[in-house]
Amino acid sequence: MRRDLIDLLACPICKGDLIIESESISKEEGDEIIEGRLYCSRCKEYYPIEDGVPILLPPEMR
Amino acid sequence: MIRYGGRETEEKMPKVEPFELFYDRYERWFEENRYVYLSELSAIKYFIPNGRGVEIGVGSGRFASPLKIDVGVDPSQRMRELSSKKGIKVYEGVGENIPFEDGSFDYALMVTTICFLDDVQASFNEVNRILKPRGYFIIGFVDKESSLGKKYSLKKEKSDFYRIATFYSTQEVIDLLEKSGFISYKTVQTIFGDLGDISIVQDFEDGHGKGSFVVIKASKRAFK
Repeated sequence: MRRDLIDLLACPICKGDLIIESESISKEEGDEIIEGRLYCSRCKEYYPIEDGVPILLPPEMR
Repeated sequence: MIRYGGRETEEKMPKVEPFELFYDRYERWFEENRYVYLSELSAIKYFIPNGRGVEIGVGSGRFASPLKIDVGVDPSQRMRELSSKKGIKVYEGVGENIPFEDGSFDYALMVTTICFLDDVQASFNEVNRILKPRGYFIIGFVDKESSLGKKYSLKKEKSDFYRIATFYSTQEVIDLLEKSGFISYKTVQTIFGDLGDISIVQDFEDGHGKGSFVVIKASKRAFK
């Protein structure tokens, strides 16, 4: 996912703001994050970015 | 009481299996029914406004791509691979829990998606939330009461895709939209006659009740 698209995203459960967890990024191509993790600062849930795609399913559906 | 969506006891998991297993067959349908697809696309296009749009249940991007919608949500990985290739920014997610901020879009589209949702009402509430005030929600679906809807319902158990589907009538969809706070409905219809006989892009008509494929355009209120 492109870094600037984070502003559009919200936690699918609590709708809190998501942030890119910088230390989780293991693969990047330009401004695209290929492997990494998003974090909801409100409900403390993590969402992986796999193969460039943020997995924004509620945890029980993964 | 009519329950829209799955049974209470069903586990709430996205219905991705047929799209994962039979994605090539899904894609082939659009080739083999080219004019059915183009007729549906033409009716949907009529309702697409300007601005930033999103497709929920974007699938392989067959509708989003020609309609210039570049953001989508879909739970199926195979479908996401296909829509990503068309330049659509796709997120893995479901209609019941849409991963976008409130008031993010001018319009949202769902095409042949409501039949696969676990909870249509929750999904419509979510679409309402992510739309800007006065934003539009455009829904394309096979009307349960149309000739095709009746045929699909009868043969449902034999279809790898529709076995897991729940079909709705236009009135049922409008009732659900109203409960989610949408107003001012307009409908158009297309797909007249048997699918196998359709060899041109059909002209769509106002209203519903004749065509098998109905498109509804509803608005979010200006204020809460």
